[in-house]
Amino acid sequence: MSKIHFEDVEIGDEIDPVRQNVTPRQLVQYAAVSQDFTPIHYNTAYAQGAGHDDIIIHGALKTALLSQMLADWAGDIGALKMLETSYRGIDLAGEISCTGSVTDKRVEDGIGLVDIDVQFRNSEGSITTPGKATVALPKRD
Amino acid sequence: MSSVVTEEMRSFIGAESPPITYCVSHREIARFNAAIRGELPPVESDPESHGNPRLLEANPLILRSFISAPFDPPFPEPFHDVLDGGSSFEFIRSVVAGDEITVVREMQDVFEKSGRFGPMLFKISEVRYRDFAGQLVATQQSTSISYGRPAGSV
Repeated sequence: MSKIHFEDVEIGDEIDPVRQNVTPRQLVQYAAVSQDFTPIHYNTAYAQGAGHDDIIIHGALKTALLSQMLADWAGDIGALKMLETSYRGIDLAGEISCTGSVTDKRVEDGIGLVDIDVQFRNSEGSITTPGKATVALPKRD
Repeated sequence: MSSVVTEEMRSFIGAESPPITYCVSHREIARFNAAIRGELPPVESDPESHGNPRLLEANPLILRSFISAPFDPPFPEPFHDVLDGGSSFEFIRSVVAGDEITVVREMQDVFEKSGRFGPMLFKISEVRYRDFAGQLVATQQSTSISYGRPAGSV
């Protein structure tokens, strides 16, 4: 786990990306832990009946993967303060990636805050879920 | 063409769901975190592993598994199929093992748009998560979209 400090971050910095193969098994596993048993996430015939090509990734799982990327980057003593996502595309199970870059940094009430644009990308690299986040990082002084 | 949004639906704007409380276990956190990382769930989680606080700290999105209770009376949902339109979270603190989280949802808006699936009903709500002491842990602004087949048809 990294121990990044507020002073280490510059506007334009890239967040360490996450690449993952989201499998049907993971979608079933996520359905179980999230209590979201909507069948479009694990039943192909049902998903096709609802107008999709195949089973699709839960929107909240996409947000959770983005939050995990940010939590891993922030390290043990950083904290995710805000995360906003907009689901603009349907994602089928398969290879995905999460990316992000720093857009601003500031100090409020003595706390170092870093604003980050985040992106959830499908297997072709297209952004299907853009978002914004704010992470609190410890200061050295 | 008539709107799918009825006066009865609009009457839910400002309504709050009954509170519901979830007790968060170390095992539940371990299983949730494994599901996000695409790992098989641990056969057992070690509650003695307090040396690393990350082992007890949940992925922030575990909050989504703490589902709010249905509105009473229930919202008159016209469609069967549902999509998640997006969300905005403010996190005040992390969820840890031993937390008791109480969830209340407030309906904030109901409106209609037309999309590739035909008429779609958008519901905007704010979900508030509070701990045992009544302190706010997080809030979520969420957009739920229903569309397609009539409710009760599948």
